Amino acid sequence: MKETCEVELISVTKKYGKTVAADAVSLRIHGGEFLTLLGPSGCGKTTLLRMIAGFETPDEGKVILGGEDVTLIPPYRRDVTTVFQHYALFPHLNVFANVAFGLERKGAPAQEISKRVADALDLVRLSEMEDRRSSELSGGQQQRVALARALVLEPKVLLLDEPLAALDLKLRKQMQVELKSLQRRLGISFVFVTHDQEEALTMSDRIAVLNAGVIEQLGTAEDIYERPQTEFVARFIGDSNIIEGTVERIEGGMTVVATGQDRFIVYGSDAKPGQQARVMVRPEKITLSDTDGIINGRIESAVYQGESTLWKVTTESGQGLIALEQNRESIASIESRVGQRVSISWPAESAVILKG
Amino acid sequence: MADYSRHSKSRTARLLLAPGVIWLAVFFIAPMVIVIVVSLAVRGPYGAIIYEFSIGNFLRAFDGLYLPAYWRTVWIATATTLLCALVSYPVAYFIALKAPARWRRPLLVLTVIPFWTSFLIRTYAWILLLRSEGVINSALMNAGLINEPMKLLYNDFAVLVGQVYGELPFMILPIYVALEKLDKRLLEAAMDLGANRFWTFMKVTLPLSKPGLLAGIVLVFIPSLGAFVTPDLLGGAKSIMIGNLIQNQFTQLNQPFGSALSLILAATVLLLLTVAMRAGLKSSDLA
Repeated sequence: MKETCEVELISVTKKYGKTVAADAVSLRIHGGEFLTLLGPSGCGKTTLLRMIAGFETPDEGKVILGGEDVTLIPPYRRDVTTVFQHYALFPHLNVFANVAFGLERKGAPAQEISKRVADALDLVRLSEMEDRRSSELSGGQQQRVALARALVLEPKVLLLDEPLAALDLKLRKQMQVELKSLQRRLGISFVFVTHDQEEALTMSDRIAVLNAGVIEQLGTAEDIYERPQTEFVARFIGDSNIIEGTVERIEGGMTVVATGQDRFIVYGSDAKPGQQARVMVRPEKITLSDTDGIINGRIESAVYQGESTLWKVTTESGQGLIALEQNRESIASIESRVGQRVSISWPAESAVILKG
Repeated sequence: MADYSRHSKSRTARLLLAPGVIWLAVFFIAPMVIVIVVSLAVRGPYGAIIYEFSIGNFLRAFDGLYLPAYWRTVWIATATTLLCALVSYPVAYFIALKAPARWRRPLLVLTVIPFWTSFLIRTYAWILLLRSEGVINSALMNAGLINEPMKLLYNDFAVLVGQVYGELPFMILPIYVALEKLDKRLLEAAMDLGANRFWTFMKVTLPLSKPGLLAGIVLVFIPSLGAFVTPDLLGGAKSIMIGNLIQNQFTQLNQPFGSALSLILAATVLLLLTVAMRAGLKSSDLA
């Protein structure tokens, strides 16, 4: 499959007073890709989306859509559509007129409009709702109308601004699956903005993690979770342990890190000997045993969580770690293990040296 | 227990309603009844009211003699409303959507500042502006644009100017409220779907501000129908409106005919309000 590039941001910068919402961000979004812009509120993810839609003009840099520079082109002449956070359905129009809005502006003939509106409503499983007002619809139905209204124009790229944030948990999970399958079926690019890491991990082909107007890391869900490059990414997505140490030596692609009296190896890193190193290990990768671990420590406390147990451990060098263990075997007494000495280990390939 | 609380609730409700009900009964219903009774009476010599049943006053109201006054009332009220809407919409639009947020309140205050002065005094001020040796004429003559003063005062034009001036805030405020309530994201949604600024306005902004516009139309048109101060002070002898006609009956001691005219005007207003409600005006928009 040939990789096409639908959207390209070239070093875009946008400032609001002293706040930098986008700091020389470059990003390429491929055709048919589900790309998520993930980050905490105020990280600039919505600003990036709004620059693609045309609601914001970057202070510097370029926005390219389908090979054409659209930096200064207004939103109504861009071949992208948006599903807004609170749907922004027109309250004075019924479902049909909401969905037909864009087609009418394009001057499509009436027959074509009613056919395409019907198809679009069919796509989001909302047929026979054409005459309803948006105020008569549930949140989930409004969401679908917003989706139909944006998709009916057959955009090359669909922008979604936290579209699921207002839905309850069950509906949100259902819509996640639906959105993803819709995107696969239509084969168009989705650019999805969210602050919900789980949503991002479930739906995306690629995730761009944003912080303070900068892309911290861009990669697949697996990349982002298993191999976070920065502490921000490690902490923002999932839980993480960060072990402070020093790079002792590098041997054939393996980095030996020293923490206190203990030594352990990390694969593939560009760290230099003598350098301070912050090593990230996910809690569920850690196993606690009686002997033969990588470093030794003591169990401080335990939280029984049903299918798993969360252990808080302190290493001999005084660092606090958390370990998440599946309760595969029935456990006699969690409490009795608290205070005991344990040996802490993890697979070498699940440890990552963070940048910076 | 439940009965007790229901009983006490209804008593509380009656107590709360009492002042309003009494007020309306004394100052609204009673005068209304008096006007209806008087309208069906006959004028005696020296302005006495003779209570013998007659619908003569109502029939007299349809005398061709009064037709010019009715016609003038309708067209001046209509023109006032149209001009107010045309002037007010851009002003309200600017204040609600274009002005920086911190300027919104001061600008709104500016639109109602005229209310701090008596309407009568403000109307007199227009005389100073419009008369032959007034501010406008002297300025134009000094500038050499005209050779002799234009006739700006004591005609329908002056009445229209005075009316539009006086009613403007009543149009600006409801339109402002409607535009201010407008969800700005809808404007972005429209543009996102390919509507340029013009179509976004026509298809989203205007329809969604319709309640405010309708409220403004009602709030301007109805008082304009009954206007009498402006035509009295700024209009000429010929610029008489129905309000002046009614006023004249009371000062010339023909209360029965004045009452009948008042009732006809009130009935017309009620009819128009019903039409406006049918067109989608909600009573809450007038508040």
